[in-house]
Amino acid sequence: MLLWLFHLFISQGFAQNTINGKIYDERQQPIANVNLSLAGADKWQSNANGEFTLSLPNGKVLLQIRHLNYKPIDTLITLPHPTTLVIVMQAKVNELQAVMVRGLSTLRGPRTPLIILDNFPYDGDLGLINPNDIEHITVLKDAAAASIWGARAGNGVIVITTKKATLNQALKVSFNANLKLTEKPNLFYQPQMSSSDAIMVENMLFDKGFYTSQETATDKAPLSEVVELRIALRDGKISQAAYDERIAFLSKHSLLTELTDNVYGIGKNQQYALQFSKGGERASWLASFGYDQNVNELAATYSRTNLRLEQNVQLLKGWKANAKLSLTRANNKSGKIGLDGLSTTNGSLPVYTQLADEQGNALAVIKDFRLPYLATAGNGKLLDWNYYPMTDHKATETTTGLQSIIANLGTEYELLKGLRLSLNYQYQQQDQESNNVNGVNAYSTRSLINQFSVIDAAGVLKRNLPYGEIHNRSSNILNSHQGRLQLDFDRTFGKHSFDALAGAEARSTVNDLAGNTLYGVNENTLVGTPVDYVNAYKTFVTGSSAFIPYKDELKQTTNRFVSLFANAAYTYDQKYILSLSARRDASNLYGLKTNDLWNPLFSLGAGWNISNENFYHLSFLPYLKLRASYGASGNTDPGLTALTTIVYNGISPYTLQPYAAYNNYANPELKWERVKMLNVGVDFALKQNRLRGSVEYYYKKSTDLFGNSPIDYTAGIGTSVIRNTAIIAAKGVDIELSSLNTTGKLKWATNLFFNFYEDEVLANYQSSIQGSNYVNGNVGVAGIVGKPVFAMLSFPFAGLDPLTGDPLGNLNGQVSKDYANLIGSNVTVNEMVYHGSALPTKIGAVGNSFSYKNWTIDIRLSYKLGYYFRKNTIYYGNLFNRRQADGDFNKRWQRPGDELITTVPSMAYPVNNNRDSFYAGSTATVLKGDHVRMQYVNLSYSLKPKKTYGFLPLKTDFFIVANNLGILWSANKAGIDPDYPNVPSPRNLTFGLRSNF
Amino acid sequence: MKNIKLPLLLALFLCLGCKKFLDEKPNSRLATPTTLADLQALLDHYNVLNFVDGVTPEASSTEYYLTDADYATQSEQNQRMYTWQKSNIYASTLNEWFYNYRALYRANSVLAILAEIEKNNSNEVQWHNVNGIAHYYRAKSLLKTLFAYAPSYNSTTAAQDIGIPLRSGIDFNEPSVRSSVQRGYDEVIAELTIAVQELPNTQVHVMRPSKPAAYGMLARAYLSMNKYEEAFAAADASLKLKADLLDFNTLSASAAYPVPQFNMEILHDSFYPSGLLNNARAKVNPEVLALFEANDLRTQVFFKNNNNGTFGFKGSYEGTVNPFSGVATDEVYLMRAECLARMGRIQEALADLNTLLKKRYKTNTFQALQSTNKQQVIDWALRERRKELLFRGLRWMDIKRLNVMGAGISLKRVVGIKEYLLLPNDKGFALPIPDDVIALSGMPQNSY
Repeated sequence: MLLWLFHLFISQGFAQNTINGKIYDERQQPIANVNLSLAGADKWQSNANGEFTLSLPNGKVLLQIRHLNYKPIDTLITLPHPTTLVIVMQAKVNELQAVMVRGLSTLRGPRTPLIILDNFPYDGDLGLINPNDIEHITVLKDAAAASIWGARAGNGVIVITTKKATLNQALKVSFNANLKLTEKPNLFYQPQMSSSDAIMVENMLFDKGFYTSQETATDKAPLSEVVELRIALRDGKISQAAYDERIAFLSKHSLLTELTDNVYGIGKNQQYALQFSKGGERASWLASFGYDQNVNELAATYSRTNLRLEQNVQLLKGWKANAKLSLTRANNKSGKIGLDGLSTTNGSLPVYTQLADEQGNALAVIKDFRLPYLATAGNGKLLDWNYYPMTDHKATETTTGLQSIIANLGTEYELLKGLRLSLNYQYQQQDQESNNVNGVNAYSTRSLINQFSVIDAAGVLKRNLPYGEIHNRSSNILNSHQGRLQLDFDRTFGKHSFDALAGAEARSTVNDLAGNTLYGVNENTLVGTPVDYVNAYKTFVTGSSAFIPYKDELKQTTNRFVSLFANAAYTYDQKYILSLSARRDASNLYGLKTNDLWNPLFSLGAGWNISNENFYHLSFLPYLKLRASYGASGNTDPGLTALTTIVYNGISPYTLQPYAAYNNYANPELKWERVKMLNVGVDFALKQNRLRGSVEYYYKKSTDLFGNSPIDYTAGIGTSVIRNTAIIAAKGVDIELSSLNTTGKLKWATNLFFNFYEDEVLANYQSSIQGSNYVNGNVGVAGIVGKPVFAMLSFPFAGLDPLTGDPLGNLNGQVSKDYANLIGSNVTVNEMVYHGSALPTKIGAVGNSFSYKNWTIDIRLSYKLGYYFRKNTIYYGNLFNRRQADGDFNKRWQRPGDELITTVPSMAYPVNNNRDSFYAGSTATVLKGDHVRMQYVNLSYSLKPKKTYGFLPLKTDFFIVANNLGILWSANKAGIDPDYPNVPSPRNLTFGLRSNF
Repeated sequence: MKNIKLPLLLALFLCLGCKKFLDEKPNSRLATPTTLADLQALLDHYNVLNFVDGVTPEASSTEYYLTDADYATQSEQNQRMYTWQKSNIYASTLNEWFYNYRALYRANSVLAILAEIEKNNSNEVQWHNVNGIAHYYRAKSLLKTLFAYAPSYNSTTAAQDIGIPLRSGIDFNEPSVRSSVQRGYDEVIAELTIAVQELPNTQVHVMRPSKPAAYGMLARAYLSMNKYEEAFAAADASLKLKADLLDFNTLSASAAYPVPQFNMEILHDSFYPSGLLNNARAKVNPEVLALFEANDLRTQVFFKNNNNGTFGFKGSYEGTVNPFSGVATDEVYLMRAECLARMGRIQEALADLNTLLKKRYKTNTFQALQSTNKQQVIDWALRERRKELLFRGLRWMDIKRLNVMGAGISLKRVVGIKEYLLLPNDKGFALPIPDDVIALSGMPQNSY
């Protein structure tokens, strides 16, 4: 399975733009059901083995790679793509946990909560909001949130409110500045394989003839330095002494050390904010300015400037109006090439790779072709074809500029007493322009020009792709209009109070995308050279024909939403509260027929202020309220339409006419996902708020959940279809407490948050029962009935064979080494070992704040308990074929007796991928994830001069925050932070001040 | 109350405007396929229709071999395919069964939509073209599936032999059922019979099938059924429309891939990803190399000398490492020659062989074949077929059909000290359908 790569990297000719690829997670496990798309349109999915085939037009395309459990990747790939595309995705365990506001309600659809920024849904990048402008953030969890904010609120709603100016307020000025320093990433966090071991392995493979056929391969795929040295030694091209000297050097050299010392640096983020606000009798205004300037560990830069203006006016009695304008400009510039950017066409760089010589001169490392071939190719007539990662970033630069305008106009008029009509409108324009300049010294430029070079029999060089820089530009313009018309009513008649609202809203977002490429650009005059996109040319290395990548494109997407909503609450005697809400949503995404688009949502709630009752006499508990709500909402995947649709992918370079692929196959049986949710809560407060808090219980049942259901692919539409397959139930308890422990000179306050969460798959009609489908990755949706949605399962591991170091499993009650069957279809989920949930079932945080005079220290700890994770381990197949080293190599079984102290199998050749997969998916690689973490320590000093002197601040806070301080206690003793399977988030330190005038 | 009317009116207006507001298509590149242009675009999708023929039949035949060292580097599934195991020969669901039936669905869906489009004077030409191409691909998808996964066509048992599923609709919920071999071939012939009527003599590019290509495919189908007269008629019809041959003297034999893509011989272009046949590892069987004479240019054009006594294949008509598996005039010449010989029209058969071979030998070195012995000419035709159509994905079908006629060809592989043997007419010539397809569909696997 993994050796697949080995034969595949040459199985595609250069001329075609069918790309085969494979997606792995960080443990080199294939990831299934990864969505790949071209800026949202053309869609593909990886299969159970993580493999995919893309049909793409010629040119440079932005491939968006998405999976719920992994960090999204956007990668620019150039077509024709000569080799297999190998993509490694990083699990986003923490993000996944962080955004799950109220338990799982979908397996497949969007899982992120809806973000509401000042009354309107916000789809942009949260990083573009000036954090100093935020007044407060509220998280809505219960069913009422869904019925107020619509279908997407099924996953929770985060309401962000920005600072406002109030009437009758003197001029307020605040200033804020801080500097954050982030340490270099710890590349050695994972145990590493040593350079001498890597050399030993390559020598072993060389002796077995592993590389013999690759030496004569026409595609000249790269071989590692040690293999090339062995070939040169064998062919008498270098002396034994020179060979020995170089090997001795490489055995001691470490690529990661070199990267840490010479490439990575300390990240510096600067942030400044200034705000003014003032209010008169009839009008108030606020102006704020923010500026950020960041340099990351690879010297990439980012800057952001925000300007926000807000004005509120009381026009007449009962008539108010407001206007807001927010301007943002952000700029990005690419930096150096780090570890993630270093790869070759057929695997990783060897761990002993040297990037620069002792004088600091950049050295050539393998990339697409063998170095000895490149040394002689074209007899010096071609451009230098070597790749120098230490300096390549100097020749290629990507800058991205973004400008955003958000303008709001709102007005409110009181029609009758308690009845108000309001109209709000928001316009947003976001222009993003990206400019990727590949200079003539950039590897990508030199390589492409060389590929399109021909040297004829007379030795004359002809370049079919002109010499010069290559500029790729793209722009993305987003325009959105949103409007809301709302009628509010609140009035009290004696003991009866009513609170109601009803309204309608509409939203339209149009995204215009354009991209183009210029070849042969003169760096001084910026004049480009026309190229021939129509005829194919022979490429240099294999002689197969290829078209010059055509990358010009235009595209437009349009999203439209319409909603109607109503919400009413009735309170009797300030004790009993009854609320009701309902909403209907529609959008142009859900199909091309309007009829099926409307989705109704509703919720019903009740509250009881016990402490307002006459019989209530608990004086120590002056506030007590019970509340409950129940609601139904729905979820749908915007990508699924009710009709069969095709997507035009471009122009066939052969027929020069458009060609198209299926985008969606109509599935009339598909229904909306349904979510029903019950919330019961109690709020309380002790006297003087010494202890206050809330306890909330929720139960959520989601039915008709979309699931990928495998299909007999004889049907011809792929290997799986989306069906309404599953029912899951989730329940949990949230407890929030805050206490004032001491109130004297030394003030001590504590904040606690506990969350208990459990979910269970009640039904899954289409799930496979093959055990091996459930060991991929850390956080794959298992969907096994009776187990948590994310369940950790493993093959039972029976130790290592004391004679050979082979891993042993159990097959039909017998100890077995039949790996194909041990991971095959005969082993069902029932034979697997179930460890427990793969997501934490208990999450919590404890914050303590101590103040003494002007000093305050905040310390926050958090914990995650009750879950399991799978650690990285060695795959010998990947080590041999893709040079992917793993530190578990050091722990491998080497001689009898080792089985007592290790579980890592011996190195065996020929490789048996099933043996690798069995061990990697066995109980031996699962660890408990429970841990306690120190989140941050914040020390601040508040300076309040007794007298005020005009322009000097009334109050200034100085603070130092230390973040990502690491693990305090962990159940696993392997030194692995379960939240960071690869490189942990580096520690950082922020210094800052906040002044109010 | 007067004031409330305004918002109500506005809300009403919003709702009436909704339908139009929501009818806007979400992406400029999306369409619901309804027009002939849409259908033509679906049929021009070369990655789905041209570039995905299957490697399995050629990988299962013995025109090549792997060294033990190279065998050891292969995936378990490739090793199993190489040694004719009866299950688990595909590492991925993206295998050629998947690709064959994806292409079939493409053709089926186009035909289903085409049935809704009225033919009139203004669209007639395009309508027939789309119809012809769809029927051609339908036939091609089924035929290559039959070659790989069904037993050889044997006229006495074909009605009982289990063949392949012949899906025709677009309902993906409809279960797959294996039809008889006879029905499978009947369907292929019927589809191609329509295609040859509908298709034009030439297309804008050889990526689209033309009338001579469809005749060539029809000849291939009949030949695999050992129906020589019908195969002759089709091959003859094809050559009457296009009979160009490439003179190998004009090629640069030293190039990495000397034969140009889309050359004059190609009637319809397609290839299969090289996989096990990749010339980095696959060594040409010495028995095949021995068939070539010294003056035969193909010794240099077809073979890459590894300088260690072994040779790789570099003669793909794709001009890449991926072997060509489309239809070209050389194959049609060889089909016509074989059929003529079998029909006893010996001199006409020899004329076809000599016409082809003259273009393959160094100028003025070729000595025309001469004979009056029918069997000798048949043998020559078969020998030339084996030499010329190397790695075209046709050898497997040839062995199967020739063994039905009693040729007695058995295949042998050696891995280390282990020998694998496939005897003539062994059930193993019907390759195993992917295991997951069997599991999900409930269809019977080939019996071994």
